[in-house]
Amino acid sequence: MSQKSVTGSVVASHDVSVPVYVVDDDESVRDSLAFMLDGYDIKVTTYAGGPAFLDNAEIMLPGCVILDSRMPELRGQDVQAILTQCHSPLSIIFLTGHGDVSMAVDAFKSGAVDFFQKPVDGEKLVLAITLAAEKSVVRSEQLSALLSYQSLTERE
Amino acid sequence: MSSVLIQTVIAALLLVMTQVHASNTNDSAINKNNDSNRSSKSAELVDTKQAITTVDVGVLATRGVFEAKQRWQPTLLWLQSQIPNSEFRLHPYTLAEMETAVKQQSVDVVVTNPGQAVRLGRQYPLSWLATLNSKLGDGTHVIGSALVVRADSHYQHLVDVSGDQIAAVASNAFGGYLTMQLAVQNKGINPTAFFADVSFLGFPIDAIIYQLRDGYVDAAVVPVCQLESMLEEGLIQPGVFRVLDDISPDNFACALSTELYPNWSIAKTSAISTKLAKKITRALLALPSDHAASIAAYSTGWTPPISQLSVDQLYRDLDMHPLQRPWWQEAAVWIKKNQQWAWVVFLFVLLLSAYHLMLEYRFSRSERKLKATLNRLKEKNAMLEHAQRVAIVGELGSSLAHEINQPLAAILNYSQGGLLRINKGADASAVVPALEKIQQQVKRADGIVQRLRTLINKRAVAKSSCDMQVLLTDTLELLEYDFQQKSIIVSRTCLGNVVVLDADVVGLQQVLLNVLNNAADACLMREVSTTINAEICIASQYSDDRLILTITDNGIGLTATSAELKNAFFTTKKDGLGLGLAICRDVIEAHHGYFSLAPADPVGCRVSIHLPLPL
Repeated sequence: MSQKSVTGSVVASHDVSVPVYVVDDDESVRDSLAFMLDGYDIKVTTYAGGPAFLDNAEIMLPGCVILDSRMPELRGQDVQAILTQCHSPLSIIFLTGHGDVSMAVDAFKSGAVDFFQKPVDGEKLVLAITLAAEKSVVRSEQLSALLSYQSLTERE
Repeated sequence: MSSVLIQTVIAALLLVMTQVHASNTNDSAINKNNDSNRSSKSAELVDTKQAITTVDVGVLATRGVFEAKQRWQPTLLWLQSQIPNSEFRLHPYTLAEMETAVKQQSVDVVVTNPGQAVRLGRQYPLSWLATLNSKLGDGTHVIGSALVVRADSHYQHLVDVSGDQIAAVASNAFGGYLTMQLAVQNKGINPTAFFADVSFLGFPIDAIIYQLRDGYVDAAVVPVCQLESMLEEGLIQPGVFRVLDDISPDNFACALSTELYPNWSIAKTSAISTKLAKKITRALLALPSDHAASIAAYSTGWTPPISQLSVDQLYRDLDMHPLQRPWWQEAAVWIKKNQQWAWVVFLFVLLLSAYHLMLEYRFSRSERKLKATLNRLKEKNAMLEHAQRVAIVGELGSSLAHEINQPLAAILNYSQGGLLRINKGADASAVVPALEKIQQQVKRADGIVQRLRTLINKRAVAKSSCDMQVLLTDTLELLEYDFQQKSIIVSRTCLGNVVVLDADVVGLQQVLLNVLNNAADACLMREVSTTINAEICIASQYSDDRLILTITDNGIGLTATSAELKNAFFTTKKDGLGLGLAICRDVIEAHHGYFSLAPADPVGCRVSIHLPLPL
């Protein structure tokens, strides 16, 4: 995995206005991701598993979640399914230790914004996070418009 | 010319019929009609105006023509003197000549030994007139054989001679062979073995004795009294010869090794009349015992014909009786008589054959089926094994990737984060925790690798006695189906004395499997256009201290450098792991051996495995 892009690039601070979550069962991955993204001025909230994330995160608000696919309690795909079910505007970036093509295709079909294999280049991840955050904001607006539209028709 | 001759013959015959055989010579006249020579001879006699009956007498000349004349001429003269107007003419014959003469009716009267008498009498119309009476023994039973050896030889009994060089008269000579053959058989000796080296010298019999004397043969079968006659005539010296197993009776002057059979007899053929035969018989019986003719014939005159049953029995015992039919004729007669049983047997044999054929057919069919099933089984087995291998490797690779990726991901993240901070001009203290965490993650990755290594090495290497040749056979058996599918020919050679190794059998088999699979893959990777057969040669060479196993293929050969080949995970195969050669090298080195790869000539690759042998 190439690292020269990091060392050679001009470090710019990325303004990500929405919350970023990291869900991974491996403490070192969570911690190191947080450390690395902190270098890009991206503050993240980390969770050790799917249930903790779903219970505590503001999942109905725009945001970005980096999901590990292989976790003991809930798999990344399961978390994605739950988020889709409750019309969460959160953008999902998969970060997997052992991905293959079919897994990536499934993830994209289910609405994931990006799909990475560990270890991932920080800059690419940050770029993906930035994009995901923008998408999430747009999607949130669409969803709220849809919801208000739906509620209107109900009353009538 | 011929018509004149025929007219003469007819005229002569008429004369003969009217004057000589006026009463009943019809049959003899017809017979003589066949022999124009004799008839014209009769015609000559007619010309002399004297009706003289000519009687042709055939005698067996056992000791040559001269001796035969000496022996029988006086008897013929006696007959001539007793029968008016007759002329008796002597014809000395050998056994074969005698038979021909009787067959062709060219003799009127025969004088022969009992053996031939019975043989001829059972095949041709002969009427026995009288039997020669001898001064020996009971007078009528005086024929037999003597087995003669040189007096100075070591032979004591008949059985001693068995298989040695024996001379005899002829295979059908009575006193000169057959009686001896039966005597040998009756003693429980196999005649074929006894007469394994027999030579038949024919008449005259004297020659046989001379051959024995001169040492050309070890023993001789001669008619009884032959030796004594020659002694008397001064032809041989006394004390030179011995007769083995002499069983001659007290009143019998000649030495004898066999039973005695009836003496020579005289018989008439159908060529002369009964009347003439009667006259001859009367004259013979009237011959005084002390007459010169009797003495010349070594006899005491003639007696009425005696039974020849014992001769018949001899022929039967020797399985060569003239009336005896060959076995297949006997079988044909039996089958004709017992047709129903013959049919039963025939049907039974037919049924058995059909049943046998049916069994054979079913057997071969089920054999084919079994073979096909076995092949299918092997194919499935190979597929299953392959699938299992793929699954194991896949699972292992996937787990390993996940396990190793976690710390690697963490290290990358920490290091990228750290670099970002340094580039932003952050204090070194901000980076220190990241570096410490990187160290922790490196240790974690190392731990994973160590765990994996112990997992792989966990299999206890059990060394046991291992015959490389047996192992090779077993391994080739595992690959047999695969190689057959790929049409790869495997040849094996082994030089030196096979020594049993003390080795890790499973490991070595893994090595052989890897190397052979590699060789097979290399053969398959060749260009399709190559016409030579894919071939793998396995050569084992045992020397004093080591076994050199060379496995050569004529496949694609080596495309990588030797440095590349030493690395694990280096592969030129599409779906290879690059572990095979590394495993081979590890296993062989664990046996203090040496594993090497080299290009083969002209194409292919040669794998050499050197293994030290136990001292």
